[in-house]
Amino acid sequence: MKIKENIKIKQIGEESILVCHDGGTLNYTRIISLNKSAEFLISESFGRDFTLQDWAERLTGKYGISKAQAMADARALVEKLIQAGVVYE
Amino acid sequence: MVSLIIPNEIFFLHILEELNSFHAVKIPVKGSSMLPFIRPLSDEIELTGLNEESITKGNIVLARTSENKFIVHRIEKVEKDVITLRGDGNLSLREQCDKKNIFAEVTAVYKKKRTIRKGSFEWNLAKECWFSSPLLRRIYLKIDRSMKNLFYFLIVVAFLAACSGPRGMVKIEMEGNEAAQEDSVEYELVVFDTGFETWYALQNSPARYRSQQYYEGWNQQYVSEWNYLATQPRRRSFFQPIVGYEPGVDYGFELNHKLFYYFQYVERVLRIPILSNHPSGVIY
Repeated sequence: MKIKENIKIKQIGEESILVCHDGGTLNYTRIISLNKSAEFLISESFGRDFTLQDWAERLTGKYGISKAQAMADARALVEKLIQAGVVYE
Repeated sequence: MVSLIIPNEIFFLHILEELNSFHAVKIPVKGSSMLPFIRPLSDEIELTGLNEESITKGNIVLARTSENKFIVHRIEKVEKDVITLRGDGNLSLREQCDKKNIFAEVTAVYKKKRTIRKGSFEWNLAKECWFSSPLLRRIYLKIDRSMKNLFYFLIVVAFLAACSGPRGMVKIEMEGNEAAQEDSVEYELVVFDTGFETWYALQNSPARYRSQQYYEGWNQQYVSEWNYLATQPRRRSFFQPIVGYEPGVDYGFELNHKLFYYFQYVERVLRIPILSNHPSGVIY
């Protein structure tokens, strides 16, 4: 899987959000708010292929949660991002 | 996540920073002060940085008023240091600011199916021909609102006329009295199944909320398949067309959440299949 090239993480106040840009236009009409772990995973994955396993390992390494929990969290996030058109397979 | 609310001040200061690096920024529209040219919720606007001709009568700009409030209104008068602004939908209310408090210009309005760019015929028509007189504005806006209400009324009547049974009926209505419509338009989902309301009350827990985009994505698939099934001779006895749910329209979190759960109710409680694939991880 890969994150689309036109996606960026932005910080507004205390919020981290995902926005997309189309050429020179930045689009703030469809934004996705991120929690810290989602921001961590996405920012680490720009421009490279990743698997669910990669994300689960990163979550386990960073937050010390169980593999099963990390896998479930990674899967839930990927589903949302695919649904939102941020990630493609 | 229910919705992300960012104070105007923080949002626009951020947008101004973005305009230093990007040619343009597209943002959603709230508020009805630029009606009828710019409609809240359904329209989006493109902001670009200022050029030498931006601060000119008739242009629409992002400005900070003397009350320290960010607005997107049309320039009505340019004096030496004072700029007078007025929303197309405002009858008499005007705002004033100085030149340095005008930050960006609106260069495009994105409607549902078309884009009106600055300089186009439609843009210039709105710029040159829109009434200055408060009375004429009031009359036009009243007609505009009445036509819109009539349109929704006809949709509901047509929908009810097409329905043959109490089940499988879903209606999306625009809500709001005259006073409320000045600032917002809301939609209400009406489901003609009392069993659903009870079931939904048990499922509607903030702890299980997902994003509005998540529900919108699924609802578009469900509505499309539902309306297709409504045309099939063997299945249309249950499925009545859902009128009013259109991609690209922001119906808000609540309506999307309720509609999504209605589809889950039909599939999981009434055991009537709609889609071949299903959302995973939805807790019941």
